[in-house]
Amino acid sequence: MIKSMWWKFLGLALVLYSIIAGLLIDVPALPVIHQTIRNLFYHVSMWFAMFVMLGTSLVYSIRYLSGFRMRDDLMASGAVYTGIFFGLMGLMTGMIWAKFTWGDFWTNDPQLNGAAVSMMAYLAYAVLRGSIDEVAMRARISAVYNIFAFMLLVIFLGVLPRLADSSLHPGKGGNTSTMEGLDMTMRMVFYPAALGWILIACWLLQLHTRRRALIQGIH
Amino acid sequence: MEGSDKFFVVVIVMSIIFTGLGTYLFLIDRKLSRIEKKLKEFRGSKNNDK
Repeated sequence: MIKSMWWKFLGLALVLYSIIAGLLIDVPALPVIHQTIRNLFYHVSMWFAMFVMLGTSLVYSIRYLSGFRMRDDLMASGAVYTGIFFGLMGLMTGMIWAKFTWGDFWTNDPQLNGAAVSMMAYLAYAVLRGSIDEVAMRARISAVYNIFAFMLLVIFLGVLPRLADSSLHPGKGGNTSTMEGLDMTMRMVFYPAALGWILIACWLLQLHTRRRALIQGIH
Repeated sequence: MEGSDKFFVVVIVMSIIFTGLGTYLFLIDRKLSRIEKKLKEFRGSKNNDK
């Protein structure tokens, strides 16, 4: 058991490290954001975990459509729900951060609006699944919709904010990228934090899927 | 950050809470594994009856 669980412990250890190191390291003195730059380790990691979950979901949706195995549908929908969870965490932590640095809970920033639109698209996925009773039809229709939703996500979070005229986010709207402005000490915390949260997201997805597989008798 | 402001105490408290949550997650995982094993045995014994 321990053999197959090493990545779960690695995830926990990395996030624990990011909590300790993220609070204790010296961060560069920056105007406006000051000490809140430490939020980068925690807030941005949420989005990384969300992206990996929704990407996983896309892969399993395509797999479902090529083989019609219920286990793939279970993974695809579970990954969307886990992704929505991390997306909402990202939105909430981002709103708090924005309030104390940009002055408002919600600013008219292409990245924020894009995140909101893509979250809506995935909430619609949940509604769509809830509205179809027939199991095979629900799996097929939601798998097709999921491919569409992922394209929306890429356009609204990956493409449009970069093309926008101005943005408060680094790397977007002609700003220099986050990674270019990030000093080495911060990278040493940020990368492990993001990887740690991605591993924990995978763990949550696995638990979610195993529980539902037990209930529905799928193996 | 280092110094006499006792900030490290907050870091320790947060670490304990997170470790607790991690342990809880681990226990859920182990319980699930046990149920899965039981179900597998149950399915196996059912097939032997036939």
